[in-house]
Amino acid sequence: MDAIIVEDLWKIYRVKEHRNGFVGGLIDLFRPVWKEKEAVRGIHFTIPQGQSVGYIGPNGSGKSTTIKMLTGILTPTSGKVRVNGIDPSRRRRENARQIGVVFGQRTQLWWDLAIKESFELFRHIYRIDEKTFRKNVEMMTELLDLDQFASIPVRQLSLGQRMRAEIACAFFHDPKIVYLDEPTIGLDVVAKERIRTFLKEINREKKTTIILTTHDMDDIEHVCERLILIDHGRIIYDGNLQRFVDNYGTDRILTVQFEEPQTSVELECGELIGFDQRQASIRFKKNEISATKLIQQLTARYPIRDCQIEEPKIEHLIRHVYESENVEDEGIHAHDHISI
Amino acid sequence: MDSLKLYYKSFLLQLKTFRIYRVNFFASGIGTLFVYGTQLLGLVTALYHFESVHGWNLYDVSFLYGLWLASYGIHITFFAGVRDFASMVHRGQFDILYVRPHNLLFQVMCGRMDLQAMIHMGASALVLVWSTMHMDLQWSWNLVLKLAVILLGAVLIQMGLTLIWATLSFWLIHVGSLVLFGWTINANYMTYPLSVYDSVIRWIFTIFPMAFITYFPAGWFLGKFSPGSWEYQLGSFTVPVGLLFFLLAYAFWLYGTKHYKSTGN
Repeated sequence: MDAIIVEDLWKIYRVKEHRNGFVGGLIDLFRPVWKEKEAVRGIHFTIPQGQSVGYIGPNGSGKSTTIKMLTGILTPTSGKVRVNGIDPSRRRRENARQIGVVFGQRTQLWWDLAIKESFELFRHIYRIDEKTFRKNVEMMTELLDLDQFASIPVRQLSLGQRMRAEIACAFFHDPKIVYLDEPTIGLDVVAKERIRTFLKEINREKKTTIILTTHDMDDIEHVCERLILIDHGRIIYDGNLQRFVDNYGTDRILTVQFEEPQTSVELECGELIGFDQRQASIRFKKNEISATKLIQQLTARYPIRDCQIEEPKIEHLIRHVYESENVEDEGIHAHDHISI
Repeated sequence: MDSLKLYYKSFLLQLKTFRIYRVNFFASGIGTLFVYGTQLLGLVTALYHFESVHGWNLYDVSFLYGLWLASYGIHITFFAGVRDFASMVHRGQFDILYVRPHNLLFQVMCGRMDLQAMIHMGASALVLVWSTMHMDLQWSWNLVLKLAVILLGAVLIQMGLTLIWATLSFWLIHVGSLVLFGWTINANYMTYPLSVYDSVIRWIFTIFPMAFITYFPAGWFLGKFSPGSWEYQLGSFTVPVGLLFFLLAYAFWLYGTKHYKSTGN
């Protein structure tokens, strides 16, 4: 069964355009200029129950707007959204019962009280029966290691501890879908790792559908099987994460250090992208030449002390996709102008 | 029933928080008493010189003031979250309420309770008792019921007003000064008999029914209007007027929640 269906979804905001200078500001007060901003421009996707999806886009891409329409916070301008068969903006409360949401930048916990007090309130908010609640609290406490700070007021917790508790709160009522909006923002490596492991485990054990938005590509790599990229309100990639890496991630960078300074480096294959006598960086495509072969060619000519191969980060691949997309996008706009 | 339980649980958590900030609570309580004490003192001073305005003597006006304070206090008991709603929208915390399976307004009410309301109500009880002691009212169950009725009407209008100010924050990000403006008018104009004002102002407050918080019901209760006069009629209708006003304010609120834009990510 499909957990989420999105068809031709649009969200257009009306925003005030500001005039320049003091006089402009005064005129703004009385005669504002309205401008339409298309935040989401006709997107489509379906997400089956139990899938873990990374929903990625730069700031202002329409990513948060989409999540807000899926959770029922915003009403779409047009198009269709179904979450477990429910239209979230029309039947908000019904939808809310079946989803969990973690906002990385907002807290759902009571600032001055211990987390277990907030947990107890969640039991009443979602009308969870005592047995299920105890079972889930136990499970979350163990998986997220909450025991050590369960009775300390939230304001005294570290960001990592607080975030773990926030995430736990989203799972007590056995939601079918959980949305996590930047859950690892500002956390250290250890805290991030713990959260990733937890999400993977809960997705596997409870078959919870997970929609994760983040700026940290390592989150996506560890947790998600599917990647959806959005930019300028349009989806520019939707598919398997591994395939994305295979298709776009063919470049490798080999960095070698020479035993003694060299005046120049000559290559049979690949491209020299950095050279400073003792060290050279070479970019090559892994489907054109293997790393071992390239190193062999180099050692045949130069004395080499050390070498290192870098795989591209998903972050770079995504930036690459965005850049090529933007060129196309401008093309479309130019065409629009001509047709007018 | 479940909702009442949730309200009660939220209330218990609030109490725990108050225990932590005891000093703050007492300090702001004293502050509140000063604000209202000064207001009342000004009122007494003015009436001491004039003895009566348009047939309302010192005790009548004090009763008016007591009624205003009591209705404000009772409404704050439930509506502290609505009063402070603008900051909730500003911080983006309102998003969270959308993803929970409860009525939005109910959740805003659960989110904040202000124990200061106790100070309001304590002070208003003192003023009401003191002012009625100096009147020759024939206390009966009927009169007590009448007092309850005018209080209910006044509370409904206070709630409607606060809800309207709150709803404005869906479109305007900073409504602080507007709310203060509304409160100032409410607290200063409504604590004097409406008849002292210019006819334009009288009409404004009758149509935008702030005069139903104190002037019409108090005049009706204290027998200031001749039976059959239009003021008397209006005075006896404060509960329906309050109910209608509140429902209109709630409709406005519902319209606002559909046009909520949310902030940040």
